[in-house]
Amino acid sequence: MTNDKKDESSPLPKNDALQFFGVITASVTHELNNILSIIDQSAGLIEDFLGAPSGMVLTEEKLKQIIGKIRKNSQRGIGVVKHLNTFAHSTDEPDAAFNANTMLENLGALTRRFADLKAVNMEMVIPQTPIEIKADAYLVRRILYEAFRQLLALAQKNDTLKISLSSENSDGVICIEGRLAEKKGEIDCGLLENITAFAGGTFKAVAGDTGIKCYFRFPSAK
Amino acid sequence: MANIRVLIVDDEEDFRDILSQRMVARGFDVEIAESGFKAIEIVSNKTFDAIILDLAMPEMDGIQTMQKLLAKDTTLQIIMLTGHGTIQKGVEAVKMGAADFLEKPAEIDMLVSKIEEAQSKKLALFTEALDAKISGIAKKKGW
Repeated sequence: MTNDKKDESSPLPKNDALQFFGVITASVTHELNNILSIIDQSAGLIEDFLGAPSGMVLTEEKLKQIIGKIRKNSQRGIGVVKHLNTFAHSTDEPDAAFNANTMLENLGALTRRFADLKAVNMEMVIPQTPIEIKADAYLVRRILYEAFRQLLALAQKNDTLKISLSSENSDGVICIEGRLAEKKGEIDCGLLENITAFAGGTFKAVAGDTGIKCYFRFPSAK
Repeated sequence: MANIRVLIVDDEEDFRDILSQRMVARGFDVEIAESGFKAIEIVSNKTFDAIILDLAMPEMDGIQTMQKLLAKDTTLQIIMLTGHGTIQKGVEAVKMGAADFLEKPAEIDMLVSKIEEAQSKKLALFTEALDAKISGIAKKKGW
């Protein structure tokens, strides 16, 4: 199926992809802005010391401390940009097989801030063994984010969202679990099922007393 | 004259640390809080001329924190720090009672100038309230 034809039959609204990329980049650029603010203020603090009268001395220890903060936040920024770049390339080859391990690491890094802002814990369980799956790389991210978003909407402070990956009967299985102290609603299983099927996989939700588990199964590339 | 007292509220530890050092270097008395909850606790025991409040914080964001702070003391001078995409939120914050807002990364001179404005406003509000009180007493006494 060509991409144009695929877009026409997609269960998602026409401008959904743009909105999805917007939500993710807005969050990531906010984090980058925070990082750059720290680096900017750190440079400013060194300038303060250099231009200050004798009372304010830039000792070696102080300088090392400020450089440490600049280095730490530069590294943090590099990590964020790498993840954003990987995400931006997720539509390059829609039908190619991809490594689910790195895809999940990428998605986890880009969505963690949403959980942090709600004081919800995030757990990632990704095996060392690579699991290659054959599905639309963009749509898999989109559907996983949708499940994450819906579960996060139900979560409250100190609840946990756990994302795990495993291999079962040569399929790649991704589970997003919302461990909720109090279950105050349901997720839209119909929507999740439709998009997963469209992406080339199957969806199953299991609700229990301690929360909801969303299973996404995709065929292995091998 | 006493130093200007400032409270910096931000969940980014490095940002709080560096900014507070820069403010101290400029002669301000600075306290820091890592969350809206902590800010409310600190403000209930101490007086500040200005509060620098980050908009995006976990659990209780800048707007929620500001509302709770202003509910306790309407004369508090809050300067909201926003990201580029959330300038509209800064405008909303001012409509809801913030003294001002600044975009991150904020220029230190601009921040200092906003803090000084906030202090003057706080002082004016205090003087106004004091005058009203004195007038009330004078009226009661028939002076």
